[in-house]
Amino acid sequence: MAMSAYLQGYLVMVGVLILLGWSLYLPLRAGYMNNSPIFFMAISGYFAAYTTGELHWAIPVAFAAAVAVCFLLALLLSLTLVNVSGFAMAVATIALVFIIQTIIRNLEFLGAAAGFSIYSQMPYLLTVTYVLVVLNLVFLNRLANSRFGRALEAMEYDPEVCDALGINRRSLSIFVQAYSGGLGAVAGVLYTFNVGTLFPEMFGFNFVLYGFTMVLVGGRSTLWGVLIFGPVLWSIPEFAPPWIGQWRNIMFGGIIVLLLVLRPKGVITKETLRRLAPRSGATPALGDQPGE
Amino acid sequence: MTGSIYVLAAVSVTFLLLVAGFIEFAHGEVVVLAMYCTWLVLSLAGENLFLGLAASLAAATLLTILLEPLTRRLRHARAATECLIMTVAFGMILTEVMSHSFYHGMPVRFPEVMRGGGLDLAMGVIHISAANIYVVAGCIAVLLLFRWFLYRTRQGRAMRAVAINLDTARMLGLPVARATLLSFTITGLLAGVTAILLAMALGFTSPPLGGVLSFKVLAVMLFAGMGNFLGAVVCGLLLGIIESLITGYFVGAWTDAIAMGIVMFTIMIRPDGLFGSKV
Repeated sequence: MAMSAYLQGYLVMVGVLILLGWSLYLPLRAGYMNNSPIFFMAISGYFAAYTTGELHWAIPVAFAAAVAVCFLLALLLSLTLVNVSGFAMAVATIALVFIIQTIIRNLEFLGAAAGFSIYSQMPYLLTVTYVLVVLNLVFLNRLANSRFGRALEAMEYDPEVCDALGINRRSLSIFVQAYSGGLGAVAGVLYTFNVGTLFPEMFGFNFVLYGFTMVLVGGRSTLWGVLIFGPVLWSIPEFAPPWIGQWRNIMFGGIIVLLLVLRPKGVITKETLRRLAPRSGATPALGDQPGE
Repeated sequence: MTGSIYVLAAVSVTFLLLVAGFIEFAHGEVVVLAMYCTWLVLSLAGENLFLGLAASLAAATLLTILLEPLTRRLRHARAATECLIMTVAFGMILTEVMSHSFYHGMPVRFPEVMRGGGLDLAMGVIHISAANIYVVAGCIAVLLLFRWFLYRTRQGRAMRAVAINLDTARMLGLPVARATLLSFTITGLLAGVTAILLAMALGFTSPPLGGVLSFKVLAVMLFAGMGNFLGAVVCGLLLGIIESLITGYFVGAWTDAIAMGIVMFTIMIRPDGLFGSKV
């Protein structure tokens, strides 16, 4: 039985948000609030839309090229931001979101404020989205439980001990930022083919809010939180009465504020995972306290 | 003129950072909500300027004080990233409330009484509106008053001591909790004043203005060096001048992109800002 267009669009959006959530989770685990994945979502989205719509590139080629370009840009960006503080990183990457919105708004060939529509449809969009979600889940899970994952976490809690242990914080930070930029780019292309028409305002604070709500509610010390709570949070306003949907941003903002007051570590912590599956091998997170 | 608003806002957030160890990302949204409160009271109270100004000060102060208990646990745990995310979310809630509550987020215009009565001062070919003069003079007066408070009053000295060394301040028996609460109150009052001056300068307000202002204030702080008062004053004025030049010389709405590009470039080559960080 054919799936309705609405349901497919909804499921793809959930996948996109999971990928976006992971792209924000990874730098956050190292102690950085890095908003650049939203910047790369915009670049890859418009890149894929323009190259398929105006230059008639094949969709897989445009997809791969958009991600490759963004990965290289993310690598360059991470090299320039590697020495800045966590706060400077947050502000600088929000600046990027402002800058890209202003640039697109002024470029007529990208539709400016009127928006840019694509008419080609990506075949197997839903399958591709969830294959990418699963591949990233496997990769990030292995990464989180490796020496690399533990080093990443230690970076946030005690950079000096990291240095004493010979952990190369610079390379680690560059890898994390480049990977999260690439992941943001993947989410951007999938989002573009899902919505069909792009506007500069789409790539703004809304995504910052949705992404961080998922990460913080789920729990910033594990990647499972995003996977479980991303779909739940997105579904509440989607399937609730329309008047609730209108207040989506206030609801997400309120959840973040309440959660950070009452349970800053989120719902799923490493401690929770150890309790649920004692033999899972989940190493305790440095910030996790028993009983939280 | 815009530069003087940036200076006032950046000095307020820097003050809170030094005393409470907390970066308020929602300052712009608080300012804009206070502007809306002024507009609402002016509309309801027959353009009574005194009530309008009081509404701005009260709204901004109450909202900023509300952040104190909300962020207390995170500040004590020195969770800077979480504090930042919380204030981003707080700011977004305020923006959404404004968008839903006032004309579906469309801009609202202030009456002439908030624009200096529409008077102009002519000096040859140069025309300056009375509102602009009030804004610059108001900023200078408030900054001088703030400096007097910090250096000449007992409470101000206590807050400076807390900002310089929290542990020593505690050891000396200074009321650290009270100083922190007072720093939120003063930052709120300064946000209220900023709202009044911004309403005079622009003559209108709209919900997205808050996010842009918040961001520019933090960009000024980074540009200057975190926690550097003098740097915030110089860089606030500098950003205002740069924006005016861009508006004058570039076609299209490039102001934000170019100004932010310059700030980003500075952060990349001088991570501690132009004047060095004091945090």
